Amino acid sequence: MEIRIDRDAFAKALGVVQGVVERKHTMPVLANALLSAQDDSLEIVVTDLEICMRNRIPSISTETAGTVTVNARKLYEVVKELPDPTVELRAMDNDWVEIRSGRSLFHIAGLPAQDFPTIPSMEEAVYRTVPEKHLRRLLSLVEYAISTDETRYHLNGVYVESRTTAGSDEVRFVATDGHRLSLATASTTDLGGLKLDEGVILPRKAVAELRKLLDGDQSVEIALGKNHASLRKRGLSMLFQYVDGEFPEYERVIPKGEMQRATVKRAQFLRALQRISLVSADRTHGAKLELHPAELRLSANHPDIGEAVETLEIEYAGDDLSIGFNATYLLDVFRVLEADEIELEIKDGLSQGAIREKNNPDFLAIVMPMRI
Amino acid sequence: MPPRSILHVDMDAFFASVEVREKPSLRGLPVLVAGAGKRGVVSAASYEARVFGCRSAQPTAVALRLCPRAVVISPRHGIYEEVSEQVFAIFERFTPLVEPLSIDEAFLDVTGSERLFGPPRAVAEAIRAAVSAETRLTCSVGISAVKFIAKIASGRNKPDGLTEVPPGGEHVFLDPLPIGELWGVGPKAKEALESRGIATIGDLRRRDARDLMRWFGESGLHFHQLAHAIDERAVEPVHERKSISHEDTYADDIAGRDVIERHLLDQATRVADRLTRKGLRGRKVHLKIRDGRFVTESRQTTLPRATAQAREIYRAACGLLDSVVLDGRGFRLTGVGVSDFVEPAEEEAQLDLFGAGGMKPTKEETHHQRGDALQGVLTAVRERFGAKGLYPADTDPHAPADTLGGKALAKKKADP
Repeated sequence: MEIRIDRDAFAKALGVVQGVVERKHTMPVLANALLSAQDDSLEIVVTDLEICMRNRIPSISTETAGTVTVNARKLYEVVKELPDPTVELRAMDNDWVEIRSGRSLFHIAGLPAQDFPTIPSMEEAVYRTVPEKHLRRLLSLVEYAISTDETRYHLNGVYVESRTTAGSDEVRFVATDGHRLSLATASTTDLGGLKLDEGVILPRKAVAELRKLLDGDQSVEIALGKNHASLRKRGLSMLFQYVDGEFPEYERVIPKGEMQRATVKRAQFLRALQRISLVSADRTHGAKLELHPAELRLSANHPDIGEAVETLEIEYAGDDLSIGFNATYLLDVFRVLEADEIELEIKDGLSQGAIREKNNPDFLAIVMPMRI
Repeated sequence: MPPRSILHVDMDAFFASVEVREKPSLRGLPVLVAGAGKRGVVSAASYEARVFGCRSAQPTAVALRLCPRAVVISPRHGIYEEVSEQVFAIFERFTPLVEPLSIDEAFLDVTGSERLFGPPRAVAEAIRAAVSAETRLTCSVGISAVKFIAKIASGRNKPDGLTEVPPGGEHVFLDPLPIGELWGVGPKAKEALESRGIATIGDLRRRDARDLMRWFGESGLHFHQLAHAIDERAVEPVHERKSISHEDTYADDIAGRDVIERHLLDQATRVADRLTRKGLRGRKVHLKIRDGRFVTESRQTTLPRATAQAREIYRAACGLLDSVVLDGRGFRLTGVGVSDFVEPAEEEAQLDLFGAGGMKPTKEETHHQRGDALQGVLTAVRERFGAKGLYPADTDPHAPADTLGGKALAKKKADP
């Protein structure tokens, strides 16, 4: 293999795939990127055996076609720093790679291309065209609630399912860690007709990578098949497996019945909460909310540091009510929301509270309280 | 500061005495509680064995050369810990100010206990009597107004001794002692002091502090103060246990991931048992591994949820092992530990959506909850029937040494 390639395009393409590469894997070749040069394009492939990402760089000049594998991170670091806008890449004997640019010369150790795992191809599935921005928004609305507890692997992802509510088709995105839950809904039409026969769980890492890829203003193609999901975006494609597990019956925790409803200003509440959490207990981050007519009192204390109180004017006409929450859980929700006014729905100090954007039925967060 | 009354209580040949108590036929014999095999180390030597020059921390092979007919017993930490808890509970009846130094010794500040129990000597006698009556073990006590003198004093009349250094009598007591007895004077400092003609604590006391400063810097001044019986350190009862760990040193280096993992499972099981017995759960899991060339690597990870389950500790330890390049290396030591303990109240404060919200727990959830319950049962069984009562199939304690790839030798706790 011998090619000539634009440095910036190469560096950018390598940068995009870095997140997938596991640096500490039992299979050393997985730290590498597989580079395949064809007539006029270079394809970069990386995988951790659960996610596979391919990135194609068009319009390169190919002297000889061929494939090599080389450490993905090292290659990226080197290419980024090269002095000349053009890079020459040549496969050497013993699977090494030579990189030349201006007066720089690098020889980087690689591994045989045949050691690189074979990537399964996407099964028969219908690709739907979805606005990038919309999909990114849906994922970020729920991503914060994904469990990081590896023993609850069935919660280590975003559950996606199709529903028909009041005659209209919708797609739901749900994540929970057992203490809080986030649910975002989109109409099937807005997602290019995306429909699933049964719910699937997109793994946490894939969700993070997807969100990073969805950085533009155009549209992407997405397919949610039976065993795999795939995303295509111009020269880039990502294929990944679902979490193999049973997602909990989340609807049963959506609060029903009489709730006390308060409306707060998002920015004001967020800043007050950030301030009082400076003195909340290290691990539990407990914050106390006391609701009084037209007033919310937020407080926190730490046995060794001290205490903090904030008083906010809010819309509230219900009974006096006091409830404790992990401040981090509330901050996580308030940080992803965009509306100016947020509604808090609370029943009592021991039942789950709900958080919604005012006039937006497509989002719901549920947070379980703390005993304070 | 008003004069204090400080006791240093030290159990006599603790592990060995416990073994003798458990097995009276050993009484009067030289007993070594020690790991067997070529890398075994003596944890405790009975007084009968000490006559021959056997000491703790000595390689077992050396101790056996000194006293070939000594009875060697493998350490049983579970039982020592149990007795230790009993002994500390006795201390706490006399004063809340108990500072543990190790499993079998502690400082006690009994300044405030006089009205209840009489002068320090009476308190010491009462403690000795209680320890003897309730544990059938003896201890030695040193009494002084100064911490480090109390510690030296307890060692003066061992075993079963009581040494009081009354206020004002410090110099009479300290002056004739060899310089190596002073706290913080190790072999190097001892040599350096002796080369300057300082052989006893008295010699040191009579030197000018400035000379000592010049020779040894800050620690010289510190030595000088100690020689003048100045030691303002208070008895600090805080010493909460910060971690629980279990390490093994192997007679023959172990190699291969399977073999290492089997040992980690055994160690995780022991740590889980100790955590469970103490009602503790921790969020951090540590792995320590030392290769044949004494290169030690340590790794740690934070779990999403505090645990006392062997299965979860083991899994985390194996995850940490992933980041150790094994490369066919042989390892002489492995260890697993858990730290960052979580108060039960702290954990329970956060309510669960799954329980309270009526969400049916999934298979996986039920599995985890059962794991907690199961760990309790397993620990209780091993508590009652010993480590061989119930054990993971991969760590058969009956298996001959070679199938385990090197039998565990010196077992020591490595709690900071």
